[in-house]
Amino acid sequence: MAQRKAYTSTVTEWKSAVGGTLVALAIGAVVVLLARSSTTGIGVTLGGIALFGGAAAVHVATVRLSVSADGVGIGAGVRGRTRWIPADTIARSEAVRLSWPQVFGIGLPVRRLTTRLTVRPGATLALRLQSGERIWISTPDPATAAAVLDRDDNEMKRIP
Amino acid sequence: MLWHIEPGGGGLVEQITANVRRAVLDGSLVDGERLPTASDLAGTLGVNANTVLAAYRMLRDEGLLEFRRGRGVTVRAGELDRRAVLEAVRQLVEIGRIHGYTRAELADLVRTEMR
Repeated sequence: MAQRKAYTSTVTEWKSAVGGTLVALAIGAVVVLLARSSTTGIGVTLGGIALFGGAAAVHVATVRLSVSADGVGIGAGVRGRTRWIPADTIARSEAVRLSWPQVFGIGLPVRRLTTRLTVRPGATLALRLQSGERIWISTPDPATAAAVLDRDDNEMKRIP
Repeated sequence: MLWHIEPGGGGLVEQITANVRRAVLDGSLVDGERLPTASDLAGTLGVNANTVLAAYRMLRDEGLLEFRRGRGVTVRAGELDRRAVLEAVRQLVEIGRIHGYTRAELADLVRTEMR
């Protein structure tokens, strides 16, 4: 067996999870008030929305990353499907720093398809695939992740 | 967290557990942090998932990891007693001093032992 290096991270941004839950509650409250439900109905409905919204928020507020010389695995949530990206389909990998608007894809101009597994601003691994797709993943040490892929472009930079 | 698997560096289970212990000691892993699932880590390292599971179970039995339904595998860094390592280092330095070893000579001995 040859020497192997790998990088893994699981990032959960609890502020995003709490924020998502509160947004779900607020939307639910508006819907329920508009429907003029009974008090019991309001309680049950809001409870259900909070539970579902909270679970969904925690799921999307967690991103998983695994990197080896063979490729990159990415996924959302604590468990679940992992998308595998073979190394030979990756044109470029680099460590970047995102701002809050970039985390959520807010702002113009719209350039090209970007897959975001970003839950907070700051350190992010940015991949550009041979197909042109861009993938951004929140991770504590993107420079090390990029180095494991054995790419040259691992200088920390801000995305223009 | 960065993982290293070396050929001839001992069994895979032992290497995986050593990676986790070292990461906790150097702060790469902190209390409450999640480790990858066994299948994810196995695929990344190119080893059998049962090998990773065996390593995780060993660390859980030591109290360093916790398995929680819905939360995956998390680190319990407070359980790793750094004092044991520090005490061993103090003893090494003391014994080395008694036998006339310099700092550089002791460091060389440690490096040789860790190869």
